[in-house]
Amino acid sequence: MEINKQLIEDTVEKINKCEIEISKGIIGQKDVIRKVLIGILCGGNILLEGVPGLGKTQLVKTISKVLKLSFSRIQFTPDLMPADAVGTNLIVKDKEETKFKFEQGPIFANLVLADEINRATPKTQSALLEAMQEKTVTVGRTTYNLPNPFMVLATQNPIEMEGTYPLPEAQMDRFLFKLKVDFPSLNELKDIMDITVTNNNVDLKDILTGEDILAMRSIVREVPMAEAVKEYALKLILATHPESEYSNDFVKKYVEVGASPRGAQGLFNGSKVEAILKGRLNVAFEDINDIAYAVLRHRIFLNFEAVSEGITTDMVIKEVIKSLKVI
Amino acid sequence: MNNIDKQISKFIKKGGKRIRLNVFIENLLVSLIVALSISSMASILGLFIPIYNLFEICFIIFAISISIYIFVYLYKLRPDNKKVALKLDSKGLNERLITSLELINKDDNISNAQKEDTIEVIREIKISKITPFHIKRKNLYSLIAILTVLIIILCIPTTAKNQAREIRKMKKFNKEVIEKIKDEKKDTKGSEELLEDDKLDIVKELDKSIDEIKKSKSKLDTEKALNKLEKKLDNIEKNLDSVDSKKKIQNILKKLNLNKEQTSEKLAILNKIAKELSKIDKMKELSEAINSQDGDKIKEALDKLGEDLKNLKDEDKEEISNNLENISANIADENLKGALSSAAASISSGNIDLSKLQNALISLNKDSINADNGDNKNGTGAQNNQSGNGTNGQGNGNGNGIGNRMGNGSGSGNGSGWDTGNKENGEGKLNSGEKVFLPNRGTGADENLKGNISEGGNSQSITTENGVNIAGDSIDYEKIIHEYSNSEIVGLKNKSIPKSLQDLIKKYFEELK
Repeated sequence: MEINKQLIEDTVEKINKCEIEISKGIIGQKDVIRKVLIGILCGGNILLEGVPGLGKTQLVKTISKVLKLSFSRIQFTPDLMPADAVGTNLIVKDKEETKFKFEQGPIFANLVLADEINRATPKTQSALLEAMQEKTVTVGRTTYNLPNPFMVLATQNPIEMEGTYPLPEAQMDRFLFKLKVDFPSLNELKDIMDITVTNNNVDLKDILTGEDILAMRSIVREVPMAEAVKEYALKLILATHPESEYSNDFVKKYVEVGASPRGAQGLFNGSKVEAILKGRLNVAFEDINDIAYAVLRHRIFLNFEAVSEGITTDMVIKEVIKSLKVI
Repeated sequence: MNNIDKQISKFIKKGGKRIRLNVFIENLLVSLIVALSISSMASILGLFIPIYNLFEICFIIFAISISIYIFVYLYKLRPDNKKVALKLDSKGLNERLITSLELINKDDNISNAQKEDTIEVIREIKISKITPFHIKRKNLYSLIAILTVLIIILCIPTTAKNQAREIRKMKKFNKEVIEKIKDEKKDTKGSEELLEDDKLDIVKELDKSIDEIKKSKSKLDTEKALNKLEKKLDNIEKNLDSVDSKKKIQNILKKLNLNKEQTSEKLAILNKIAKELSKIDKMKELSEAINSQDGDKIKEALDKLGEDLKNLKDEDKEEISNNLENISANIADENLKGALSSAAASISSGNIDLSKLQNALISLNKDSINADNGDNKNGTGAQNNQSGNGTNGQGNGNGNGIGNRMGNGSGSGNGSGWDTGNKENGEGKLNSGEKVFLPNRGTGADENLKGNISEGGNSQSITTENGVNIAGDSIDYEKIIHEYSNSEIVGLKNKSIPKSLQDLIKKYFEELK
């Protein structure tokens, strides 16, 4: 495929159309929608965090419709078993013999909504690890490829912590982005009411197919990134580590563990899509800064002092960006 | 490099010139601030410690600072193309330039697309707008403030600065003397009139003299060394048979005679103070006495002044005291300056004591006359009522002074006296000047001197009594023209010359002064 400016402009146009179409079903949350689309174009999994009723599930469902992808939803509960998500081998009686047949679980879809992921037990949560990272599922001795593109969009509620199982660090790291779904504004609430409490139905069109997404991913990967920008992104990662020479006093005081190399991958991929969406064919420092919150907020682990003082990872990222010199 | 690459390179080059100039000026200001700060610190030190080469030190600090800055700029601070591109990108280009710079000479689709995108953006940009010349005001104000402080510090008069000035003069004087001696040394080596042995002796003495002058800590030491050299050369001359050789040595002596400068300097101080004092009613007599260069007259005038002052009102005393303080402020000679201040203070307090002023004036007067006559090697100076024990002194016995002096008896000429001993009744206290004792002079009789001549330069103790005074052959031009002009101007009144012509003659003599 020959990458030229026209192709990139067409891609950007399609993504913008997607955004507009999603906005019909989801009122407000423009930044979340954009970041979800960026995540999808990067080929990453996304964790949506917000209080109940903010439309997290609705957002994922809307996206699946606009993107014309196979979609499945898994409602995570404490009694959900791994086999319920990934599938299981069933004994099937045929005419001649009795044999095992693998019955695919709901995870075999392009877009998987893992609703309230923190309600499932660690065992079930861990069943998603391989799927999220390797895009495969192993049952018994057989490994099955998941459809391409494959993405997990998980949601979690930060308030109702009783009876929940916080995601382990290893699994958190598998999510490319962690997005915070904020409460809508007054005007957004009015618009939500207009759609949900009336008979007005919203018709959503398919804009992108799975093939389109895969093609876009290959285009995005080609976006050039200057050495200085790469260095900046890597310094940003190192600066989240309290023992690093690039970290500031704030990090040294409040951070227990900094971001992993997967964070750097996320920064590179995310900033490339961000640049394309801004109509640029190169990554800028501002793209890195814009994407840094979504990429790093779930990869930085704060110490007890930070928690007791009400420090958030977003505050840490802000301080890190402020202290890093561009030139 | 294709056309797109060239356009990008040209843009970076153009922007680079302005950015580099800005960086250079910005950092230059910082280095100037540093240099001025260090210079200010040196100047503050100079207020309390005599630093004779303060200006040179400041200049060196400046030169070093600027040199270091230029070195650091060229090797560290000067922005390279990457930094220039990043700087230009920070003006709204969103890292397009730095990316394009790295993609120069790459010809794939995405690289070309990116470079084209960059070209589109930079076409709309005026470099002069995004990289204006600017100077950080904070730095500029700091520079002006420190410069002002430095100028103020340099303008504050202090004793240490006066001392430094004196040391500076001394160093300059020493340098000149050494240069002259070196010239003579060179001349001597190439001389055909002298024998090889004589040449060696002379050169040896000249070298010794250079060493001594280099080690000298005051002008006095230099003069001592010169006098010593003169004596040594005299001795060498005596042992020579050839008239040409003798002439040669006399030539050397003539060329090395530097005491004139000192004489005229001291005479200038006396003239200045006489002129200043003549402006004060009660001091006119003293002014004339100073002009006459007669020590007795000065003493008499001061005694009379002391008596007159006792009968004055407090306001008049205060006025005279203030006038003396003002004169003191303008006098470079530290001894006389102190004496004037002391006299002013005593007049102001009512306990009139002019002894210090008397001593200082007589001493200075004597120094100028003695040094002047030193050329002639026949002194007319007199040091009255002096007694005391001096140590490590070098003295000239041609005077009426009575004193014990120890030191090298190899002086020549009737120089000024130097006495570090105690004086009785506060009389005859000499703060500066040196008596150079010259045995074997021919004109003076050695019998008049008690003590042994130390040929080897060892210290000796000599008591002088009623030295032989023989009038000098020549008198300093400055002195005689002054006196002559004064007498002619005064005499004009008694002559029947038309007034217009009188003015012309008066003007002529005034100019001669």
